[in-house]
Parts: sequence; structure tokens; C-alpha cells
Amino acid sequence: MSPGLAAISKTDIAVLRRAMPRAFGASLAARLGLAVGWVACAALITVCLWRLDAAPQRLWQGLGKLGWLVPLMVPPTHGGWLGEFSYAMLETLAMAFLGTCFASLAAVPLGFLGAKNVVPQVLWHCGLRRCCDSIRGIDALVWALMCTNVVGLGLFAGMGNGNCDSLTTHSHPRRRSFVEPRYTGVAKLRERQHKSTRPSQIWHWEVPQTRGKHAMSITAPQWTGEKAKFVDDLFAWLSVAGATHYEEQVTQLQHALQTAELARQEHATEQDIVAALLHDIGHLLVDAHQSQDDFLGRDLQHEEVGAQWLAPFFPAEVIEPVRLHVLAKRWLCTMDETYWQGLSEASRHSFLLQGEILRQHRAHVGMIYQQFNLVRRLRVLDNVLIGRLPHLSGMSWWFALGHYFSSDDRHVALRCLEHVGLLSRAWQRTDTLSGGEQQRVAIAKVLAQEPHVILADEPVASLDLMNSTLVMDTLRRIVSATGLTVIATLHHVEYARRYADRVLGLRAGALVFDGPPSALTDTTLHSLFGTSLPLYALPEPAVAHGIARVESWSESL
Amino acid sequence: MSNPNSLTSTAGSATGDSPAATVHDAMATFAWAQRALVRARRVQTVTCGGLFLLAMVGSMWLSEVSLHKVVEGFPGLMAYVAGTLPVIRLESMSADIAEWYWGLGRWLTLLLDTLVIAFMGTLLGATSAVVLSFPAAHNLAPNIWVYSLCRRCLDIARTVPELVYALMFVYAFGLGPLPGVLAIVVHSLGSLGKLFSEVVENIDAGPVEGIRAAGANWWQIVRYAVLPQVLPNFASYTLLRFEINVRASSVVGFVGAGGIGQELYTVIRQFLYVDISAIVVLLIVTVALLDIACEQLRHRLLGAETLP
Repeated sequence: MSPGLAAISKTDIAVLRRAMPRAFGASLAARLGLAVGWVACAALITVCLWRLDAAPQRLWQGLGKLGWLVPLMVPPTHGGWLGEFSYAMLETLAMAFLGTCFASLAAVPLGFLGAKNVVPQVLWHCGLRRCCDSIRGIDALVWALMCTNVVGLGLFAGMGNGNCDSLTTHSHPRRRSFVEPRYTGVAKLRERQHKSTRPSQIWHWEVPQTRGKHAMSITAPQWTGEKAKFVDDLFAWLSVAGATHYEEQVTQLQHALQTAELARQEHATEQDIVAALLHDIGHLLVDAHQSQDDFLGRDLQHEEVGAQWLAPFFPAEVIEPVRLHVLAKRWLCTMDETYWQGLSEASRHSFLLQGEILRQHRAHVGMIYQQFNLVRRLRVLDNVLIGRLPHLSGMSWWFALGHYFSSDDRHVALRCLEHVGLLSRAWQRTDTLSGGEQQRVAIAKVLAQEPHVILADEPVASLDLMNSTLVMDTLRRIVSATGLTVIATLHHVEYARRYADRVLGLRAGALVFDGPPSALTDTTLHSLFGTSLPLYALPEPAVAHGIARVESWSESL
Repeated sequence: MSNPNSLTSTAGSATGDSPAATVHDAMATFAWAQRALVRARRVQTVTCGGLFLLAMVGSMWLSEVSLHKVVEGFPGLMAYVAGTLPVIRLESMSADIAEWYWGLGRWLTLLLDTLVIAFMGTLLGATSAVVLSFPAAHNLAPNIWVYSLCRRCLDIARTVPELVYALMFVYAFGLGPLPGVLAIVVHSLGSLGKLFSEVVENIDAGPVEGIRAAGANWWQIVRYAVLPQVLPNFASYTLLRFEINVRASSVVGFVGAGGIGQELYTVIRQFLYVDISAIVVLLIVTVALLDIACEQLRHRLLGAETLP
């Protein structure tokens, strides 16, 4: 025992034994259970051996006979029948080859249909597997016996069964993985401000074409005059028009008032309370132009309508939550299972119908993950081309399924790769690249998506110092070159200080710091996080070899 | 919505000549290299495709595949299947079903024998396969001779069909389920041994290196570095093999090695049509129930966090 370690006392052992009893050996109940289990297994095996009549005498005699039989088989001689044997072997091979080919062709689609994570309906994938069981449960020999009655003797009968085992091993369902919610509360995005058009008398708003519907214009009352009177008129109109029920349990007016009350209870700002009151006003505006029954079924983006209609009268702090509240709801649904369960039937129905809009929103937001989330077996260029997928439509969508992209898309992908400095690796398999290079491929993929904002979830947590600096430099360069907003979560304060324009500090779900990195001094950090952090210096750009190359590219843009 | 991302616009870059020219050169080189690669690949694809077609045509000629025969024989198949179906009238349903399953007691006993054969065969086969799979794995075998010997033994055990082994063992050990068990043991040893050794070859090398650095010998490495990683996969493959062995056990009876195979062979050969469907349905139900049970077990094992 080394002299530095203190001996452990009896009281310590007693405390540990109480805290984690299983570390000191299994409990009596567990041991008894295990013993019973072993005894039961031994009993089962004994019963089986008795049923098999496996007396040692019999085994010994049998081995003796085998010992007499096997030497007779050695050395093997064909006795002049080599030609016939070879031909028969060829026939066997032909049967096996054809049977496997045809059965595998049929098994591939069935493998997908029988998988739990592809086809969630229990009746379908369970029923399919039971059908496969019934084919598989009967041995090929039995099928062959029956088929010889059909096609006569010969090979065709033997091939008929094929390899039914392949039908089951394809559809092995994987464990479903649950993504833990990282965010609590509403996710706020910074979006660029739309310019609102000021109409003269009657306000027309062209509804964007969604899923092939024609543009529709909405006429809504246009208020001019003093703001105070407008607010009175607005709320008067809201109380009258909002007294309609749709499939929810409350009227629009009650819903608005409830939301405003919730905001007030959470001590939100006055602007947030007003936004909460007016967030669903778009529904009232489009109401007049819908058929009465399927109110929520139309994806007319009521939040856009409401936001644009209120834009002349309210400040941005009110308009933004109104415009973004549906997006925030969707994000909450994807991140929080209980939220989705708690929604009403009508809300869920409207969300599912608006899946196309969600997909488009996703295309506008580029995601960079800590674990890169690339397809490792594909080549680098293919992974970047995945970023072009949301921009395909019509025939190019079908061509993309066959791995054919237009030359424009390929040029875009190559330019993105060139921008991150990996053009020479475009044809390599992605898993042959190092971690830093894979993360840069992920950045190139996000660039090819042409997003409006980039979200990076701990982009450098899995990378070493050199690669982290390279990746953060690439992101910084993208921001300065293209003007995109990048929101990154980081655990290293030094990266935040060095690369960010604005730093938000979160602790236990609450915002504890919001300011420029220059305000993030050591004393501030100490007071925020309660610990003193070790300081280490990042390598300066002039010193590190890899970074010098990145710097020279940034000058060329 | 307008695109703020200037680098993906196909308009030319606004900065000076030489950076844009170098970019253009790089992309031109890349495009040329890609075309050359695609050309080489195409030759490869055509060759492989041609070989495959040749094999397919040859096999079809050798197997005397003819659509004519299938079309001709199809009504025969339908008539055969129709003949095996029992006559069940609605008014005398229970009596008809009792008539259909007249030998249920006997068949159930034989089915139990089949299950015993499958169970014991898989158990013994899996245990011996576990023992043999570690020397047969490339990354764990002590030397090349042990590796080759184990691999060849597994090949021989696997390639010879179970029926052939069953025939030999029936001669040696007499009639009854025992030769069936031994035949299944030998064949399972071969296939499971191969699957297990591949699982062992795919393990993460880190723990092995860590334990070797601590000074453990070969047996300790296997027990503490390899076994925890591979046991879930071993158990999963063993359960899969058990399902396959139930099917195999049902036919070793064809050569007298016990179980329901003997009965099935008799009724097929003697054209007792209704009995065929009775026994086949019984087998299907058994296999289905076993499949469901094994699936549940396999899920639990693959999801288990710690193993003893």
C-alpha cells in the first residue's frame, strides 16, 4: 500500500455499506434467487436429457460406432463418378444462387415494411412478420416435398422456397432513442425585419402560395387616427369578433385573455403581455375567408397575417413574438413530448397539416451538431449535397433520389467545400476524415443549405485545441463574409470571449448575463458561476500553422 | 425571401482576378478528376453486371427453370393445397375440429420432443461455439495455427447439412431424439461459431489494450475485456439460432431422429392430406409464438445496460 493513501476506517466502511449495499456483495434474497435459477436450469436440462434417453452408456457405444464409420470415409474417392458429382454440385449452386437472388429481391421491401421504426402501425408490421413466420417455420425440405408434387421432380422444386431467413433478419427493429430536451421555455430567434407596406384605405394582404393554393387577398379594417383610440377600437373589435368558437373549448377572446393572464403571472414585460393578448388575431382576420368547418385546416400562416396587420401600430417587441409564436410552438413540440400530448386535437391537426411549412423553416435554419451528424459511409461531396435537398422541386427531387444532382447544385456544394478549405477531400469517404475536418464538412453542408441563421450546438466540444480554433475561425469568417447570424452554445468561456459579438450566459435555465464579451471579465465570471476558472491562452493566429492557411483564404473573399 | 448568403450565388465574385482564377482552376481540376473516376467506375460496373447476368442465365439453364412448367403446375398446387384443407362446417364446428386434430395428443408429445431437441441442441451448440469462437477470431487467436484449425473445424461443422449428420448419428446411436440433438449441436456449433467469431473481431480494441497493459493473461483478457462487449450479441444470435433450430428439428425426424418430422414425412408420403395441414398449422403456430417470445427477450438483452 503506498504511503500517501490514508487507511480506511471501520466507520467509513459502515457508511459506505449503508449507502451502496450492492457493492459489498449481492443481498441474501438475490443470492437465493440466483441459486433457485441455477437449480431450475439444471432440473430442466436433466429432464431433457432423460427425455432424450441420453445415457452415458449409449453415448459411449455410439462414439465407438462413429469411430468405426468415419475412418471408412477417409480417404475420399469418387470411384469414377467425379463428372456426375461435379454436375450435381453445379446444379446445387445454381439452385442456391437463384433462390437467394429472388428471395432477397422480395425481402428488401418486406424488410422495410416489417420494421417497427419504419411502419409504426402494429397490425401491419406484426402481421407481416407473422406471415414471414409461417413461411419460415416450415423447413425447405417440406416445401420441396410438396413442390415436387406440383412441378415434378427436379431442381425447380428445390429452388422454390428460397432463403426465407433473410426475410426476418432484415427487419430487426432498433431501439428507439429519445432526444432529451435541452431548452426550456420559448426559443427566441432573431429574424430580419420585414418592411411593412402601408396601404391607403382598405388593406390588402396577399397570402403566400402554400401547397398550391392560390393567393388570396384579405380585406381588414384599416384604422387611422390616434393610437389611444385605435387601441380602444381594436379591443372592442376583438371582443366582438373573438366571440366565435371553433373546435377548441374556449372562444378566441377567452383564449387571448387567458394567454395574457399567464404572461402577467410570469411577470413578463408589458409588451409581452400585449403580444400574448394579440398573438392569435390572425385567426380572426382570415376567419371571414374560410369555410366555417375546417378553420384550422388551412395553413394560411395566421401569425404572418397578424404580425403584418399590427406592424404599423405596435413596436417590434410586440410584433416579433406574434410572428414567431407558431414556430416556437413547433420547436417545443419537437423537444418536449409532454407539450405535444397536452395540445388539443385541433392544434395537433393543424400542426400536422403544416408539416411542409415546418420543413421549409428547417431549411432556413442551419444546424451544426457536436457529433457532426454526417452520414459516415457517404463521400464528403454527397454529405454537402444533402444541404441542397430542401431546394429541390419537381423532377430534380426525383432525380435526387437516384443520386443525381444538377450541375448548379454541384457547383454550389463545391464552392461551399472550397470555402471551408476541404475541396481536395471532396471524393473521400467522410469517416476517413479527422474530427475537425468532419465538423468543417458539416459547416459546408449548412452553407449549401443557404440558411438565414446558423445554430451551432457545442460545435467544438469534441475537437482538440487546434481543430476547435480552426472551426471557430471558419464560423467567424462566414459571419463576416455573408452577414449570417450564428448562435453557438459553448462551454469554453475563452471561445465566447474571443469570437462572439454578444454573449448570453445561462445557469439553471435562467439568463444571468447578456452583454458584449468585453464585459465578461474574470470577476464577472466569478460572481456568476461562483468558481474561479483556470485561464489558458489560445494560440495566436500567426503561430499556429493550420490557422495561417485559413487566414489567407479569408483575405481572398 | 432574398438570400443573404453571397457565396452560394452563381454570379462571379467581385474581388480581384487571381483569387477567383485559383478557385476556378481548382474546380476545373476537380471536375476532370471526377470524370476520370466515374469512367473507371463505369467499366467496373459493366463488368460486374455482365458477370452477374451470366451467372443468372447459367443458373436458370442448369435448374431447368421454365415458366411453362410453373403455369402448368400451378393448378396442381392449388388443388394440392385445397386438398389439405379440412372440411369445417359451421354447425358442427367443434366436432369437425376434433376430427381434424384427431391425433392432437400424440402430435403434441412429438412437438414437445422437437422443442426439446431444439433447446438442447441450441444450448450445447451455443456453449461450445462460445468456447471455439475466441480462438477463431483474428484479433484474439494466440497464433495462426490455432486460428486456422478452429476456423476449419467450424467450417466443416457448418457446411455439412444437418440431415447428413442426422443420418450418420442415427446409424451410430440408434433411433430416437438423441442423434437429432447431436446433429443440431454440430451444425449450430459451426454457424454460431462463425457468427460469434465475427462479433468478437468487431469489438472495440481499447478495452483489450487497457487490460493487457495492466498485465492480464489471455484468459483474463477474454473474460473482462471481450465478454462484456459481446454477450448481448451472442445472446441475440443464440435466440435467432433457436428459432432456426426448431425448424431444423422438425425435419431431422425425416431420417428417424425423433420429433414430429417422422409423422410429417409419413403423412406427406401417404397422401393423408388433411393431416398435413393439421401438422403444418401446429408447426406454424409454435414458430410464431416462439418468434414473439424470442423477439421480446432479444429486445431486453440488447437494451440491457449491465451484464453479469
